Amino acid sequence: MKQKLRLGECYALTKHKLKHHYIRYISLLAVLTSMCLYARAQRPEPSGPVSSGIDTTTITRDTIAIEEVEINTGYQRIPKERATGSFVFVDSALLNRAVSTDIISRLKGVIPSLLFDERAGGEPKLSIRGRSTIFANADPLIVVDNFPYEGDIRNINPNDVESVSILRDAAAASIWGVRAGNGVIVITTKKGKAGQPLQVSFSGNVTVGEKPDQYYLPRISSADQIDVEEFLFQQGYYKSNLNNATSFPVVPPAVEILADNTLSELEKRARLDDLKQQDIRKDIDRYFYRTGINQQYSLSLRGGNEYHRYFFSAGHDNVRSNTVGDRYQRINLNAQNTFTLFPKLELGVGLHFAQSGRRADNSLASLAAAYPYERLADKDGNPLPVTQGLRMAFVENAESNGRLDWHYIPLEESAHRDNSTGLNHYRANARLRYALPAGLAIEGYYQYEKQRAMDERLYRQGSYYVRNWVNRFASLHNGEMEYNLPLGAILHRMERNLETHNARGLLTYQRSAGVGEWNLLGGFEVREAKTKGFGSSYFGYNPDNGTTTSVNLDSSYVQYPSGRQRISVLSDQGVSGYLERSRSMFFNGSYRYLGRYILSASARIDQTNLFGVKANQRTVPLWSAGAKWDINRETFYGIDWLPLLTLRSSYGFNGNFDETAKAYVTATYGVNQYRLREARLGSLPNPQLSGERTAVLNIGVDFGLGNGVLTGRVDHYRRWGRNLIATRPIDPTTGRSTFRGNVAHMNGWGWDVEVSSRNLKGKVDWSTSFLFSYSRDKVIKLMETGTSYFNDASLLGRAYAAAEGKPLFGVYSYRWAGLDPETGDPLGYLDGEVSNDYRAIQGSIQSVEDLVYHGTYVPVISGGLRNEVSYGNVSLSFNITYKLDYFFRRASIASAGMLGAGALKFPDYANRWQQPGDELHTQVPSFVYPVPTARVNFYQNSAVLIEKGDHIRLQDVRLGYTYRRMQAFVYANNLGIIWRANKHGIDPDFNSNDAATTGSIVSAVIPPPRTIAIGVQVSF
Amino acid sequence: MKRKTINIRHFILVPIVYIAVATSCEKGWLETKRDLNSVLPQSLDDLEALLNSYGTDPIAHEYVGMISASDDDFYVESEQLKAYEEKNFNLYTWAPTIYPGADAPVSEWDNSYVQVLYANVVLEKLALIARGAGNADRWDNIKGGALFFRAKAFYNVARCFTPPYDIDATTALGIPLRLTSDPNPVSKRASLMETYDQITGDLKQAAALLTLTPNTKINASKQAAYGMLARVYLSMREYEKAGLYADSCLRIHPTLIDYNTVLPGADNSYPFTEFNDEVIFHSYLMPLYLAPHVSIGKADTMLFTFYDAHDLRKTLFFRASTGFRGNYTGTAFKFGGLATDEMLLIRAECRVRAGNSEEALDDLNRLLRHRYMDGRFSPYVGLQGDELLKLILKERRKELLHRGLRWDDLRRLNQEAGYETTLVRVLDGVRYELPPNDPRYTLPIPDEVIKATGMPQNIR
Repeated sequence: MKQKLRLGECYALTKHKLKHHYIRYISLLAVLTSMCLYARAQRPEPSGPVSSGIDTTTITRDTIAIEEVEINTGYQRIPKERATGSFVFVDSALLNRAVSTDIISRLKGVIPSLLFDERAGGEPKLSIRGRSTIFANADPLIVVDNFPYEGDIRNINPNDVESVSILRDAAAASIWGVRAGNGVIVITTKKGKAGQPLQVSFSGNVTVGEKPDQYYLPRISSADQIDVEEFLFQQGYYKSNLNNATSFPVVPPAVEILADNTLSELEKRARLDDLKQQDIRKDIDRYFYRTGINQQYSLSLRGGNEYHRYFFSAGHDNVRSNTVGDRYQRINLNAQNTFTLFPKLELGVGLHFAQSGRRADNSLASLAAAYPYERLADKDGNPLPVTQGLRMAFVENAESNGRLDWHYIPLEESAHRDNSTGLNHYRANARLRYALPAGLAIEGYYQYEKQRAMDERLYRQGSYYVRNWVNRFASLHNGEMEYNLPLGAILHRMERNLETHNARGLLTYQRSAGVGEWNLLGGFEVREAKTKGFGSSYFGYNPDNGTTTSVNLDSSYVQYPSGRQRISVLSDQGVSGYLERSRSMFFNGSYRYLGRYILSASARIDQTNLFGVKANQRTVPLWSAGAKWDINRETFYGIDWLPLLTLRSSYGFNGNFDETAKAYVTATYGVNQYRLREARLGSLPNPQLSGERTAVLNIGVDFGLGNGVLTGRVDHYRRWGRNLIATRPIDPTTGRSTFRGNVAHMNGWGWDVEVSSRNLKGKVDWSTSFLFSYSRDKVIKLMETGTSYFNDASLLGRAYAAAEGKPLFGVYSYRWAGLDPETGDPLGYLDGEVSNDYRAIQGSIQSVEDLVYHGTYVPVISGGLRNEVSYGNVSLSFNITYKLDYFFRRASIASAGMLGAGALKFPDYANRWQQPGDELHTQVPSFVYPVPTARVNFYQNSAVLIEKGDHIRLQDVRLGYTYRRMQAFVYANNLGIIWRANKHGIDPDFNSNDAATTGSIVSAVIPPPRTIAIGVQVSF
Repeated sequence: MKRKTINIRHFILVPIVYIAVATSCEKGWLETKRDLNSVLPQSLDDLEALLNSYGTDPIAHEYVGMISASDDDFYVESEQLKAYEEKNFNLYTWAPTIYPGADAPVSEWDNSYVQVLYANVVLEKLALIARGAGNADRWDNIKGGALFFRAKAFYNVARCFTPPYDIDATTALGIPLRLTSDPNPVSKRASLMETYDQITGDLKQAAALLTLTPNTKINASKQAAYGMLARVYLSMREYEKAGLYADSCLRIHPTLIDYNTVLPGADNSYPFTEFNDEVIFHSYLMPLYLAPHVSIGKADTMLFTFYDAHDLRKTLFFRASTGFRGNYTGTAFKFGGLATDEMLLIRAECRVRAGNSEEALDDLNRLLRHRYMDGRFSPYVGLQGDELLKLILKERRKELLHRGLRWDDLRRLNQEAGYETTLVRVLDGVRYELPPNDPRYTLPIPDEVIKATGMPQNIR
């Protein structure tokens, strides 16, 4: 508690703006605490057995304890033994094994069939059991406390989470409806427990992380870059830019030296040699990265008696990112109360509040087009300008031409801008349950969620953004500078509001009659999610007194040095809105006979306010049925060493809505540059559109050897997807080059295995858990719509290239015949003959059959192995994960903009063929100027750049020490790859072959650096 | 206790029943649209807005960049040409193969057909709106606008991807004429005759429906429809009709700018303004290849010698480097729209071809008076026949460069004895030649279109 207050003071001092809020939270927490303490004092002590002590959150122990688990589907809690579907359950002990600010990343590597795809950078894309749809949105549905979560999932304090259940078969969809086609992640937050005296838990940890590795991705060296630039200079490549006295486009700094006739040849050499020694990555590493430090504190109070159960918590996260200037802070408050008002009436009320603030310094991103040999600071650390937007020679004269200083000095930028996002999230829910006679009960649920996010981007007058635009809009009139864009700061503000209402009415029936046991549930649900966005921009803003200057957004001004522009291009002004409504009816029931035969069935009808479709397309019916047989409870069962053996099976239908596929043509309003109201047509209408249907079969076995020495589950699934909707290329003569429609039938199948063993018991305790997932898919039919055709999209690294009999995300390439020993040209095959007619090779590709097929882009096999050893009070666990049988394309060259600004987009330049004989030890073609597009395209998409993605990784290690109700731990994460199939040092999980970033100075995707955390968990 | 329970039961049931009733019985609840900014286009407002599309899918622009990169208004030095993507080189040297592989989009095809889609959607939706006394004017203007933009897009595709219009038009292949928004029918090439019949038919219908002058010059109007008809008929070598439509256009919009009133400004500036008085219809020529506006492209050496010292165009059109800056867009973008000068030159040419030399001379002299320094222009007199025609064609070159018109002129004039041109380019000692009526005057249809539809490719 002391720790908390000290932090609070600190916080208040550094951010006086939030001070009042903070104090309010503290006092609110204090009030709540005293309320429940008072309540506790007033109520007689519960007569039930007192909880035997340690809360599961504080102690790491066996995580797969099948017998006690209740799965929360979000609609009901089902004891695992009654579940016929395929569920995975993660308890808080396993969740708390990892340390992270958000909850989702704690699921990494601990759930079979849940894959994290981080190749594109940014937020990881999750998928459960591979891909069942071709949709752009293939995300699983995330449910928090009985309702789909609409806010930013990072709002959730992971310490408040009691458990996570993953629903992965057809039962998921028939419970959650159309949005559940990709599986469901159900997050349940902690609640009070009856018969538990007040328990106070505290957890705190600090994570320290390394700087990202700047040298992870290959990139042309400074010396090579300058050599290439000099060669191009001699070829006249820069001539037009050097002679351009209209728009003064950028020329590389080395070329600026070469073109400077005032310098002697000797002087030029000396300067170039000096630049060749420089590597901007050193400066980026030094000035833009730092050791990241994340702090996380959480305090909770939990308890209850027969009348009232409560859980209160407060959490604080403070993330000092490893990028200088980036920060994230979050405060969570949470109050959950369950009251038994009358014996038959129960009321649950939950209030959640999260506030976060993010500060980002984006000046690093603007270095993407910097040259590899530029300097960010001189030897004494004084910030230096780098090339940006305009030619340096022009920029240097700006001030003498009466303009503002036009230099772009990356290291001074952060002082002049303020880029922050504030987010408030409220969630309130109520649950009322009234027990009727005869096993019936009525339940009502309601949840209100509101999120308000505010982005503010303030550029002070000193920022490059303001100076640049002011200069561009200023014009000289009779020796007087006229500022059409006023001096002063520019403030962009974007407000996004989200509001959702969810309501659900349920009638449940539960009855054991003789040998049978009924569990029925039926009800309906309505949901509305409303989003509104407001954007505004203020010009000539004075942050000290709040004054702004009005500007004429619509007038077109002559730009300096060239062009014409309206100020409206800078303005964020606009209003957007989005409204999603749905209503559903559902039924869900199971019958258990003789305690060992279970039949279950569920059905659901969903309707939403899809726009631009026929009325009947707004309704999707879904159903599933399942059965379970507890073989071990049969009287004839006599296998003593296998006390648990059950067989499960489920079958049902998933469906999906696709917002972007329309039966009718739609249009979006906007305003064109002449301030006329304009409308943009959406995608091509598709009146023949029909909904996706996917049948899913799941068969599973649960087994357990005596005494829980070995327990496990094996699931096999098959999926039959019909009429899958996707965007496919279409004859551009139709007016659009892509078409959204039903394009394919796709089957999928796979295995999920989860085995836990208790290898040693006693003083030394050793347990192992092994996860294995195998997932495949195959397109079995492509619908011919007459105007559709094959397009080798995957060769360009985008979308998918569907072919019958092949997986959806196949990796294809051109057959490779090595390098021409005479010229270093890449060679391929045309009609079976070795050829360098690249255009003809590409033209000869009629279907994917004509390409080399390697395998899939998505891992077929994935899983993990977690070991946990404890000796007395000390426990050690480590998690190894693996992904096998998949392929990726290595970045070696980029065809688009290869010679453009910044680093040469040819990171493999140093390994290129240079003279006959080189073909014996390299496969990288020679560098040819002018750049033949088809040659680069061929090489970029040839078989030689396809790599196996297989790898094994040591994800994390955790060392814990438990003393009574206290645990201290050290946790190391992102420890690195143990084995990989590729020989290029590439981490296949973090590999973007995006042409735009190939070879760029600022890499979009760098593996997350290693982190180490220390922390404590105490409860009393 | 019992009483209380009943009350509580009501307490639970009432809101549940209320929600159930409120949402399931109320039909409109699910009819509410999702995206605030999205509509199902159905009102005249919506259709007008579609015809104003300028941002993502500009409906007005002329997507004929490739043919203007191939014409002889300018030249590029070899070393600068190499700095460009291969496609630029292929266009500049009339290579048999233009697209360097990879199914990169070809805007000249794709974007023109986007315009066709917009027009078709507008026409289809308009057909569902009753035309009555209250809305007749707007209704007609929208229909005329859609027809105008569709015809213009078809024409732009045709002048890039079909052989020049001639007597074999019934057998030669034209372009796919997509007349509905339904994507399902497979695109098939119509004959060249059908193609031009569609274009001229649509334009004539549009001219009958549209208002005389536009609201904004990016919109269609009667003057623009007449102007397009003049342009199209000229390229078809139907000179009588071209002359008549140019005349109709000029009757509505006769204004010429006196170049003496235009300030030349700094060498790197653009002297003309957007929507200037000569502009009948405003559009850009897209996309921009080889960017001849900057220091790269220089005026064809021969062409540049045509301007004499008192010709204001020499300074208003060219930089010191002879790079072009006379765009009627007021920016670096080339002007692809219609302007009075083009109409005047069409009328002059057609008048002389019809034997009306006198009036042709009037037109020419009127134009040049506005182009020469005050008092420095001595009007041409007494010229006629071939001599006058050649003069008018020369002035046409001098006036209408970098408007995407030169290629069409080459294509049609090559069919006339005595007016053929052989284009020649020499780069690094290699001579590239394009003889008259060469099949390379027709661009290849994009590979992906051929793949998708199986339509016959142009032979080059």
